[in-house]
Amino acid sequence: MTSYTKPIVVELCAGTNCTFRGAGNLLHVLQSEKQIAPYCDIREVSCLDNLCDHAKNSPVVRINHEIFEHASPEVILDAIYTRIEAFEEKQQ
Amino acid sequence: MSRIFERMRGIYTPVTDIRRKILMEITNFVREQRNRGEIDSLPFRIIQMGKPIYRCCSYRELSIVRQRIRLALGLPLIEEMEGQSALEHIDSAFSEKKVISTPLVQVIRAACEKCPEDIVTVTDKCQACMAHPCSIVCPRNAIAFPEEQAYIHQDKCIKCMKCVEVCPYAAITRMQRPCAEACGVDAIDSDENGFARIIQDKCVSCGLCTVSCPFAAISEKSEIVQVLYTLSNIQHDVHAILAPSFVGQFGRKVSPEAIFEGIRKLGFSDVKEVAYGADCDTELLAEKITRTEGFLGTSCCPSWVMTARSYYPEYSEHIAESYTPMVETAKIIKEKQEGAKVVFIGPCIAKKYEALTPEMAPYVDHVITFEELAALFVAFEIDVQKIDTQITIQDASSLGRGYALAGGVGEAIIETARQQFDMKDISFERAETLADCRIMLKGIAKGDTHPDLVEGMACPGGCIGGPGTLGPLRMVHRQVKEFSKASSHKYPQCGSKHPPDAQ
Repeated sequence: MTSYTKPIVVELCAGTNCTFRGAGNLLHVLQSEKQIAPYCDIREVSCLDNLCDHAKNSPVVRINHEIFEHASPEVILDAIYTRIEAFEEKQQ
Repeated sequence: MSRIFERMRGIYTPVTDIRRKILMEITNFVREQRNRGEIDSLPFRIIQMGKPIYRCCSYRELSIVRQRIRLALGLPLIEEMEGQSALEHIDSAFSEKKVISTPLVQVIRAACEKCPEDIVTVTDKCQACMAHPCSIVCPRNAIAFPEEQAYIHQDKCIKCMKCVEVCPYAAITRMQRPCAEACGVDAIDSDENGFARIIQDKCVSCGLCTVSCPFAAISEKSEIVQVLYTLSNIQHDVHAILAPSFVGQFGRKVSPEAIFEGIRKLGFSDVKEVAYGADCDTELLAEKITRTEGFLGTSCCPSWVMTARSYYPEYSEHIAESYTPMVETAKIIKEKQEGAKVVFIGPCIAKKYEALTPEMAPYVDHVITFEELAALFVAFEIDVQKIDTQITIQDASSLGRGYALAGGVGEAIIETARQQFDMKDISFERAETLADCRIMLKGIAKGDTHPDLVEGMACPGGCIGGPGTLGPLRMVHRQVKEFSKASSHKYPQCGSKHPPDAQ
């Protein structure tokens, strides 16, 4: 296992259910957002214990152990930026 | 500025979501063999009465969802009226027979917001400034200042955009109807009530309007239900043939082999790359170009072919008469195995149209998109990301697999003509999106350019930009390139040499 060097771990379900409901587009958005890259370890993971309940709650994202269902780019990006701000404050 | 379908591309909007929710629910409905009478309750799995999320009220949502379900069943739209629900007379859909008919792309009037066709308009940013250059540059004196702010008289405005360019506050904008803007063949106007209307004589079923309407008011008919019925009939084998753009549609971690295996798990007896048929097409065209006067046009994109033929009938014979990769691939299956069914899976709505034509209908039984394939995976609980398979796919050459990308068809023909016939210096011209294809043809007609080979593609980026795709464009582009490189042979080996089976 690699050790986490970045403070924020974003795990994005890349299973077929979540892909069908927009996970691929979400991944694309996160990868295109260059400012978050130094803080974020973005990982595509396998289906997270069917949390999506047969795509009903897809896409599913986990940020540092916190689960987000119906993960839309605006919610996920905001959650990431909020954590980055908190991290920066702690550093000072 | 980028075109409407490029601006919205790659954003998973509620428009995308409702398309997919409907496909998902209808697939589950058939798979769970629910009583047909229960179809009336289906809309309530998608919307919630009293809690509208897409529209002003739930009743409108309900009416729209019913119409969308009709299209998902493959049936034509009917107007809801007294004593007639859109979900009546649906029995014919539950069959393995071909149900869809033209027109394939339809406006759901209940969903259409009647947005203005094309106007230049002054926004609230107007400061009623002293200079008012807008009115000074206007060649038709169409701008007045009735209540301080500028006002454009629409009957006079010729949309020259001069006022838009000079306004110091950028307060004037042009607003076009997204569906009409997306349409490269000017096939969308308005009916007497102001609803968008598709002029069916002009429409070439490219489907770009379906992904461009911000209200999801245009949609296409689906064959997903009939494919489910075809699969459940064990009397015959069902073959899937996959368009070259399938690679990468389910994410970069899902290999082409895993997608093949996933399709087998759905109940298809075998899967084959349509890139094989592309190879056959390349060989035909590479030979043909050696003895063609004037230019040779590619024939794999049905929307491009229809557009070129209707706008420039004098060029009809320049566009190859050969069958398309889809049909070439289906043919070999049908020749080998009588009674087998063939389902084409691709990014394309125009292929649904192509498969309806009398020449093609005997070969291809049904056409679904990658989006519809994904709905099947979800309903059958098949997670292609978890599939680990040892199979290898060797149906096609590198060049054939490149057909999915804009420029790929031309490249395949040029390279093959060089290798097989030692033909060099083929001058090549290509265009993607129908609007650009028309500009290209216009240039040729005027004598500005003199290409030997002309490639037309209706979708931006080629087939990978089709309306029925799931994967982000750039990622799919990379994956298609990689898969193309992975082929054991660069040049097509169609002809008498049949490629080894996928197993």
